[in-house]
Amino acid sequence: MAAKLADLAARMDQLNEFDREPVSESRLQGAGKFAGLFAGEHVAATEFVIGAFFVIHGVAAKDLIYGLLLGNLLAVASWTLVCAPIAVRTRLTLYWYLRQIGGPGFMMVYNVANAALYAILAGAMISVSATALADLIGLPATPLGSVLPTSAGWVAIAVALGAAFTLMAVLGFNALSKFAGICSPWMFVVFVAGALATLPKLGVAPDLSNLWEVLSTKVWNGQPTPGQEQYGFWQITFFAWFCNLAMHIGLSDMALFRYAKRPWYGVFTATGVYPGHFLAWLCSGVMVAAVGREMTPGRMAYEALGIAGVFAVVLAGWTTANPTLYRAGLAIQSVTPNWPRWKITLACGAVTTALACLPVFFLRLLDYVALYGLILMPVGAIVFTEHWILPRIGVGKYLGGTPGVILNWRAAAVWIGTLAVAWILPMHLFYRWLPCWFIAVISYASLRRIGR
Amino acid sequence: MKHVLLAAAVFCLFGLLWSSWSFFLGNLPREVFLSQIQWMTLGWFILATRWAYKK
Repeated sequence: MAAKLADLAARMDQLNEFDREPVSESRLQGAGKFAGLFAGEHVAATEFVIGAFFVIHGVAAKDLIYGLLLGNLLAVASWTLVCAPIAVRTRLTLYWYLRQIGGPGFMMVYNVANAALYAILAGAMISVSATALADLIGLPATPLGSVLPTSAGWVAIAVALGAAFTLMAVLGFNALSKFAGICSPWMFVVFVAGALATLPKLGVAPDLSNLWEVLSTKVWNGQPTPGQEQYGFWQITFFAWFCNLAMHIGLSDMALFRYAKRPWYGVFTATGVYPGHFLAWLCSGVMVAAVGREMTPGRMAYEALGIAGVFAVVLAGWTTANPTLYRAGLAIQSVTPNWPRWKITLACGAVTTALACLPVFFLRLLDYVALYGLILMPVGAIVFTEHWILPRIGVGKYLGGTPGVILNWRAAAVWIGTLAVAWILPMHLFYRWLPCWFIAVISYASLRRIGR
Repeated sequence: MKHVLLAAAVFCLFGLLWSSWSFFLGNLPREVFLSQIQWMTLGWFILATRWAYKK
């Protein structure tokens, strides 16, 4: 068993070999590069759904605006104060740093968990695209509480789109990812243009004199759709904060920030989150209000911008699903011995397409995003503790880097234990990650100190 | 040449926003607005793709 694990670990290391060394001084990037890198980073298919859900959950206009401003600020602060400083000091990806801390066995479990979460996310994106085509051919909207598909037509569309997206990912990620980059500025403009074109339908006067009145009574009026939980300021704040939890507190973005000259370059994430997680969410909220608050991203976009709107939803789903499929494939490459790249992508695509047939993943997207961050968050907490706290309490670093150590069992115990606590914690799902982060930090530091 | 392509592509995005603003003000009938959106979109994708893949 140990030999098999060591073999898998060696294969996994080989895949990430080119990232093994810390980034050299000559390859560091300046501030301008980072500002450009993050701009347009957070405009995706999810934005059509998330902004619309805030309306369905009956958020009041002021709560939404203040909540998003604060939540995004906290997210930017998390990138700047937690993720970027560790990345700049180590110049390593999370993969290699975590491998040193948790050992190759821990790394493998993390990769598989990541792949599963990515596959679900990509499935949700395909579902969003499917809503656009389903609406175009006249299929009824999927009811909000649905778990299983409501018609054979929906399944057929989801399968067709999933197959097409997978095929494109198999044929060439590099060429297509370049094209996906082209879509991003256009999609952002589509959100703004769609909201602008919808305003007259909601009764906003051309001189904008009644804009606030319309927004606070017809869009974010504080009345949830029947059967939906009402969200307020704190839910919105926490959602905006944790929707990229895996990237900042979970430290996935160390892969990007290891190239930063200074840790404060984390502030440049603001160029991505404010257009995407503020403006685009507001715009999709305006669009959903004009279609009777039904969760049909396709109809929202069609009513606002016609065929170009439908095209935007399908394209947004594809541009998000494509890199997600790639990442999922990369994450499980280590546990699929000798499989060529195309076969892994195909397998991931098949799983993702099957998940896309279940509308529950996009209809419960807000909860899923919360769970996604929550599941990966303890790993970030463990790395944070190793990096900042253990040296200060006199405990040596890098337990997993010791030869012969396959799994840092303390790290594994903290990960599982933190998730168990999160499961039973009597508070809203959106808030659980924060106390759990402290629990993970304290328990890992304690376990490491005891076992010194 | 690359700069010209990029400038023209960005112009299409501004055109898209301008059409939406005109429609909001009531200066454009919906059919004209939708047609403009489609042409601007087409323009953006052709020009931006040429720009991105041009060596």
